[in-house]
Amino acid sequence: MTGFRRWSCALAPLLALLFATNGLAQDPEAKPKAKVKTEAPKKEQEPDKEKKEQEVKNKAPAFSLPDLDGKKHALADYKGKWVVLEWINHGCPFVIRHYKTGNMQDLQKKYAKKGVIWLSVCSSAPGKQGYFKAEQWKKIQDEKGAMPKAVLLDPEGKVGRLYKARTTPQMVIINPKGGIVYDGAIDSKPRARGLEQIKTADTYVAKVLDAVMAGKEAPVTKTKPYGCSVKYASP
Amino acid sequence: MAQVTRCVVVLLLAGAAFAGPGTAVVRADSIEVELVTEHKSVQPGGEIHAGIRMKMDFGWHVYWRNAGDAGVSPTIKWSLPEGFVAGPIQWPAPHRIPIGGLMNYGYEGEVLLPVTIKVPPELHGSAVNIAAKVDWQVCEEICILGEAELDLFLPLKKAAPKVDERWRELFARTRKELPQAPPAGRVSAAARGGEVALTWEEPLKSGNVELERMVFFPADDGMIENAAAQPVELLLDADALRKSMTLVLTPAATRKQPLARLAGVLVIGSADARAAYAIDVPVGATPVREGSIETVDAPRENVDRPHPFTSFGTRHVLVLLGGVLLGFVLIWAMRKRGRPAG
Repeated sequence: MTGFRRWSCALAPLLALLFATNGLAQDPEAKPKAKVKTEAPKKEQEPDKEKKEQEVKNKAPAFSLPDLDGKKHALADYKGKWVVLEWINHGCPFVIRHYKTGNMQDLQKKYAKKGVIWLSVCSSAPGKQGYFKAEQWKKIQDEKGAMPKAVLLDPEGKVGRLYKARTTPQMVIINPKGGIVYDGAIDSKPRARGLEQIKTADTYVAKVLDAVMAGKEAPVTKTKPYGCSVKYASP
Repeated sequence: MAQVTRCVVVLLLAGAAFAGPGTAVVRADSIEVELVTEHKSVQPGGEIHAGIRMKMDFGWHVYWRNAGDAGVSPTIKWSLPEGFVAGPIQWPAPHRIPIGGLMNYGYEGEVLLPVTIKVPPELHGSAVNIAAKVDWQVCEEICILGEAELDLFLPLKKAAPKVDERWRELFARTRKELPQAPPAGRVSAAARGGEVALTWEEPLKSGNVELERMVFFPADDGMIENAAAQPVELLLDADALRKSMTLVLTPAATRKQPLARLAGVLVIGSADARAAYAIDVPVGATPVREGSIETVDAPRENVDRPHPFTSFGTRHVLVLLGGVLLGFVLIWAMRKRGRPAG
């Protein structure tokens, strides 16, 4: 009898495990069940609301993020100045390309001289590519000779999502009144290899800044950004 | 004497390496890229069904012609003999690949990007060399950029070319994934509040209201919110027969003007049996539809990401393990029973 009891004691949890795993490992191709729901037709949006949303669309969302020294930078702090937001991930081959060739640092230097506030924003979640603690960041920035006004840390990805940042690099240019004048790729050549090829590209950031800072209209306001996806936390 | 022999052997091997029949395949980081042709020879005045075969390591992907939220699509630059003309890449229908809240469009596992090359009627020589420079971005969580120069020789033959058995199945499988024109009048799009409803008219003859999966891949950036769910609505008539299926799409939040046209690829069906349609329809006014609507909130990934274990499911593995464990326990218990009590 004791033998049988030992038997069943060992067996029972195993059987339970079998059933549990069978139930958990769902068939990925299972067709979703249809729910019955009668739909009322959706109301058209009121025209006034739509117009307001249109104006708000170009307004750069407010943010406040810490830099590598823990000091907070808010967009409001830079009212009256031109601001460039550069989404960054030093592990991404596209970012590597622009830093290795010195292209990004040159742009940072050139426009800092003109009074542009250049902020590198890192929205990589902890544990994802591009995420570093402040001390590590300082070393890397130093090694690469990077010259932004500050590196802003956005590990929760809140500001990235607010600005709909999808790639690194992705560039957003904000005018002194707080409106977004450009949002998109750094230049026109996603496949450029080496500095020579980069130099043949249309550097949108430079073209836009040169135009808008001289009081002219931006030659382009939106382009499809290229790069690696921003490493947000998995939902 | 041994020294000389060794020298000769090395030279011969080196010679063999250089005089090879072209480098058609390259193994790079996380990917294998190969230039293939469906047939083993070329006929003057005919066509070469060529293609770039890309085989990604498990968990890695390359991109469709519209990569989605982030990513760079592969490109092919051909170097062909005089008079040969390569057509564009014929992109098979992609899959949705979600990463960190963003959505990309691409391929996992293995994909063939077919290209048809027109062959001039006047040809000289016994073989032709076709070469392709391929450029890609292959990603998992992180991304790697790669490029390769591939080429191969095809003998020139007057006779109809024979199929290269190595690639027969790959070309056949890929053709099924190439978007076709939909039957006339089947697809329409309409604005609905802030959304766009893409409708596929396909009345079901039986009373079976099984949901077909649907997913839409936009041809360009800035059309729809790539990561938004695409719920499907079934329109049923008074007899609960399905009249049509509607995919609800969310236009891109950054759009300044409402969507006037919907162009891209509509895929109907699940991973193993998909039908892809190339659509380009105007977005009309909201139609009045008679009938009751059943809504299915499709999961975020909505459809057919090819399951990594195609024949051997995770489920099968777990059940197998469970069985093995059970076996061991049984054996142990039986041995225990065999021994004298104690």
